[in-house]
Amino acid sequence: MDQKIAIRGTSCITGLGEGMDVWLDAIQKGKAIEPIIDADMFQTEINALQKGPYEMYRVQKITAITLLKALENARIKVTEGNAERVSILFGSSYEVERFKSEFFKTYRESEPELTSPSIFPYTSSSAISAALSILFGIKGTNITFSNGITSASEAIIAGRDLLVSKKTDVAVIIGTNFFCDDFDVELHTCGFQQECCAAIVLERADGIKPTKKNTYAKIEQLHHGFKENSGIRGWNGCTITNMENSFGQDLVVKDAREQPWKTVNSCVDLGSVFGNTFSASGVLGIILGGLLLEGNTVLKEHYGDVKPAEILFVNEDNYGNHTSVVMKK
Amino acid sequence: MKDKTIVITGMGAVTPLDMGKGVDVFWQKLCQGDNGLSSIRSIDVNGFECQIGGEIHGLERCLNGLVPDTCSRAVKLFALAVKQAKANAGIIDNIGKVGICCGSVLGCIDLEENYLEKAFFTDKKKDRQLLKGTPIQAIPSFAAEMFDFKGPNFSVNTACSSAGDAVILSANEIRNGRADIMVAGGVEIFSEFLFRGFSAIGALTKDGKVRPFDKNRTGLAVSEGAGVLVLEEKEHALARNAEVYCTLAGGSSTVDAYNLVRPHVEGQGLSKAITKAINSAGVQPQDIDYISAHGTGTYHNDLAETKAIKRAFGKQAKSVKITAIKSMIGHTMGASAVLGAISCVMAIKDNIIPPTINYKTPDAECDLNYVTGGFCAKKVNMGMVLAAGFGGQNSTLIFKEK
Repeated sequence: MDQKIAIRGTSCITGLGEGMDVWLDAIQKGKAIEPIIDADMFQTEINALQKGPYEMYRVQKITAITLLKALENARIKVTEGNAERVSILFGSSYEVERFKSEFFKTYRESEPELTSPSIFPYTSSSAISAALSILFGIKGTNITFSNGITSASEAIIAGRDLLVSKKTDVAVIIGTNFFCDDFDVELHTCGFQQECCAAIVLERADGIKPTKKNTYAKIEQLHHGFKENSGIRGWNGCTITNMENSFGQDLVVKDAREQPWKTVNSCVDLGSVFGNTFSASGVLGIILGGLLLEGNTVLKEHYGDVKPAEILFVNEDNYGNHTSVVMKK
Repeated sequence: MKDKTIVITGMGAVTPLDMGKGVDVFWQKLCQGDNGLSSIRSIDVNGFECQIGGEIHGLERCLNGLVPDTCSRAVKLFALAVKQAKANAGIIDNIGKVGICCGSVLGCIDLEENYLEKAFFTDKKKDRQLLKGTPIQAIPSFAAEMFDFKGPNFSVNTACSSAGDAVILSANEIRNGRADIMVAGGVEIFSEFLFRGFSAIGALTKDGKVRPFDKNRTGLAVSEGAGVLVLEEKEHALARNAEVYCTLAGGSSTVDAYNLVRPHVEGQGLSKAITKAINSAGVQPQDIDYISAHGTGTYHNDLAETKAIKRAFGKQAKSVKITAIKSMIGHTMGASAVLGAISCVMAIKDNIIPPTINYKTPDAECDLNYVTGGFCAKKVNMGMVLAAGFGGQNSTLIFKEK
């Protein structure tokens, strides 16, 4: 990959508020974590964002705050002048199930002419990111990836391509993990523990001297495929894994030669830390990787003195779709 | 990185016109101006103004055991389209890294409908394994497993632009060296959920026909279908003696940032998508011979689309020939852009432009050069597909003669 991509900003929203280090600290100390994000925590910012007479749905509020915080962290302001050069790549698979369920119950119990139209537009997973474009006036590319656990990872790859081809100047990658009461059994079966919504802001790395303030980390290599992990042969460094089939267990990842190439007990398994974070995992792995690269003190207490020079993040769903990202400081 | 030329080497289509018999039948019936829409059979539409839709009958015969019965209908339609395309493109083992990108809006909604019915109205039981079968990603994953495609595998949702964006992203996979061949397209199934949704927002046709750009148009018809294109780098295709239909000359994706349901009233986002696509192809508006329009048959879409074409094409807007194939197959949502693309590819191949049917009364506000009253035999060097969806998502593809 001949064009390096810089991560200029991040945000991570959970039931504890803002910041992955806050989340990790709570996990490490065994604190109770509210599994559902209370959007009221950000009421002041939400009030400032709110447009029009209709209150935003909770999912909209939280994704809007996530995007806002990420842009602030990256010191990027969306204006008329740059709106077409900012893109949103969104990872979302189960975030609109609540709307689907509600709409189904509505029409199941009402006559044709009495079925309310207001919920239906939100039953497509693309609605949330489209609503963000409307709210922020962002007019670049806007694509939702409904790839289950690898959604946000696929969004990162697409964002990278847009940046390298100069079809955009800023790619905001957002990954979401929201709970729905109507699917509580199903979500818990898949390992859901707590809601989260996270974002990273990507730009081309060239032309800007990287500092701690303007560059969180850099993305060096990207790969994805189906049941054949041939893009990362011979890796012998720090790894973050997120394997939907093997949550919380030591595991062996095979490459195309059918040889085990790495055990993860010396690295970090995302699922064993946070549970199944579904479509947010692709972004969370990157943010966690950045904390490891800087030698974050919370992580030191939890994982020992790990400060790698580079990190491989592998994300794989239970169908066999996998993505891998190599990141450096 | 040297820019690679992306060509089309295969196609697959499953629509209410061909009933699963493939692209040749689909194309033949499009050119004949056949109507693939009919009285809805699969759901009870008593009490609804709209009684028509696009349903594929006899699918099980075409599938011939290809997909387990327990899979979603979306998985079945898409797998059938991929099977057709694989054969059409001559994809065999060890041909290189083959990937899939699938666009869809509601994906495996049939499984979710069944679940919600049982969970909340009949059995009152939940299904722990539900989420493993319902995400859109289940669709391309199943196809990858079935056809042993080990390349990139992902799914996108940009409403009715989904399949267009699937093609654009797939071309990027090849350009960036992550795949040798990509099978890109979309799928949508007819469901009560979809029908009730478009009925609730008042978008369905009220007179039993879909009349894109007609002054008396009353709305769209919900339909189902699947379509895929096989994309390949030109040198790779030539090296294996693949038949090359045409070149993917350009494409673009934009968002209106205006309204969640209606397009921008002046068609701003779509016109930008058109202009960007034309620029990316390195051509001029007058080089476009044919537009496969989004043309849903709703008042707002057709008007906004007309304005978008006029804004982007300027004086050339009234010269380019336009067809709205949704007049014949209805609105296949996540598959619509790729089915429009297939009509472009075939138009270039055969130098025939299919008609827009049910067009009777010209609308002063939609006054472009529609092909009506039968197909048009014309040299087609370059064709364009337009797609616009909820949330103001737009995609545009341009194909040119190889």
